[in-house]
Amino acid sequence: MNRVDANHMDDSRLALLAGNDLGFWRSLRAHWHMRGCERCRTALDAFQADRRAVAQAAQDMPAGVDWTRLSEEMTGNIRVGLAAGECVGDYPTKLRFFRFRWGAASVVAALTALFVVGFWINLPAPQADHLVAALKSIVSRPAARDARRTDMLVASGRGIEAKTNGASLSYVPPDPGAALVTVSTRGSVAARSLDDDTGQTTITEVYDAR
Amino acid sequence: MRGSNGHAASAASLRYRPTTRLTPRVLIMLLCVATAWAGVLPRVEFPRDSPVSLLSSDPAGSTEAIRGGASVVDVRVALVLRNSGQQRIRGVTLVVLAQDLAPGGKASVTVPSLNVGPGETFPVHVDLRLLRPYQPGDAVVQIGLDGVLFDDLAFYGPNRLNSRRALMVYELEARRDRQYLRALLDSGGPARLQQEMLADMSRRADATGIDVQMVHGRATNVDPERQVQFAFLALPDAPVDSPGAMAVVRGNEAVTPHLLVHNHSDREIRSVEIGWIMRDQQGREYMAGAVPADVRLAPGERREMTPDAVLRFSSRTGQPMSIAAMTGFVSNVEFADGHVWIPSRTSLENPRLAKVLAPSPEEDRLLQIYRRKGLKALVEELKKF
Repeated sequence: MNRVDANHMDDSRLALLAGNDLGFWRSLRAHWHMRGCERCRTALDAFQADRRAVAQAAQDMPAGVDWTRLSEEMTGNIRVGLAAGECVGDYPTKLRFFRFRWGAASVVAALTALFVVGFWINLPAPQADHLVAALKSIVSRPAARDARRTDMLVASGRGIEAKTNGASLSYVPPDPGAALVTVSTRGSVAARSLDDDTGQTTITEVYDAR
Repeated sequence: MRGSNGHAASAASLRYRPTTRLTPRVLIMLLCVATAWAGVLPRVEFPRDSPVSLLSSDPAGSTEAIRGGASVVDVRVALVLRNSGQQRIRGVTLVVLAQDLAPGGKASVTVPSLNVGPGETFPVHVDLRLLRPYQPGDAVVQIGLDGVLFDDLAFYGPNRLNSRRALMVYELEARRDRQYLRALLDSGGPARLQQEMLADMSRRADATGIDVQMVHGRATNVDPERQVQFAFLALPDAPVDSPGAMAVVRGNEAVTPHLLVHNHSDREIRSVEIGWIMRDQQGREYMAGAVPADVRLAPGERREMTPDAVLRFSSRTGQPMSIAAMTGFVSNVEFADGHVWIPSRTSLENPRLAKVLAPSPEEDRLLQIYRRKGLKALVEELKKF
């Protein structure tokens, strides 16, 4: 008597499993099921054998194809194409650059220099220094990027915090206004708070990730 | 063997059976929930031979919440520790490791000014917030011991956070301040002690704090750079002074000053900590921070402390504070033989120091006793040890 069991896998899922197209979780469940199901295992073996047979058959040349003749035809077509290209003519050997207009360039350069000198003369000294510092910081920015340091320590009236690459470790005292916060250049910030009930002093310190 | 039982089984297999098995998806979800809950609970581990033992740990306030793409882990643990050694304990430092912040991400909780006898217990509260980009899995938070200081200044612990020096400084400051206040009490009676307490309260009320941000090795301010002479406040009994110092300032940012330190004592020095006072354009002075350095200094030797950090100052309202001048002073020195030097009370009477220096943890505690319990309680406290 043929057993009909709703728990057996249908052919479409077995075919997908044989081709590794069922997906991770479904494959996991299917393999779990097949540990105890001889029928599904046999069916899967059959699907896999079919896949191998089809793959093997696809590697052979179709029947009736003469490879030598096919190769000669392709070579002939390429030669005809090259000959047709020569009839059309050669590519220009070099591109033509537009003629540089030295006169116009000189006028633009003179106007630019006039503007820069005028701007610099009329710029107040603090702003000029600020501009120079900003330009210097742009030039030295790659060096700062190479420094790789992204950690920051913060000690404020709201508490202390160590920040590193989008994460942070912080402490907020029970009475932030009364807490004493200090910074140590060794790489830590501390907050001192006093418990009103116990009279006990607690110093919490967070460190950078160095 | 298949007989009637075999037929019964076949018939049963034809009936609809609702699936009650735990699918892998359900199992994984349950596992995630379990690990998320377990992740909030910090692990507390002390060495076997530790002079303090864990009596109880209440992590009831520890929670983890997901906010947008981030996870916020509040580590709130109330620990009760017992002095399981034979000596009185004066201070304890616990280390809190939060590896999810970054490799080495850590914090510490120090309780100075203790007076815990053998067998006695004391509470320690750990209250930290870890914010990290959301990732499934647990936040590993471990609490351990970094150091214990006893009443004879002996130290126990791995000292990875240099807690020995810090606990020693707190204890020596406590002894200095208690001795000073007891001397006032002996010479002028409770009225003189009260007068000192009122002066302390007035100093604290006048003190204003600043916000400080610190980064290592880079400046972000584009204001013009200028060299500022770093003045040095000579304390009469300090074993170290600085013949020359210079700092680079850009707007409200200052690079750690170049300091030339000179050991004029007859003992080898292991580390020096320089206090840093900042003056703004309005002439107000603030305690900017501490510049500690592990510099081996033989007697008579001079060595340069190299800058490594950039500090950015702003007022408590968030306004950038332009730096006008800076001053340094030796706040403590650790000798190679383990002894620690701190400024005397006479040195601290320097008006500039008195204005910006915060009271020691012990003086702060005594001040609170006076404020909350009155002069009589303070006198009793001073007579205890």
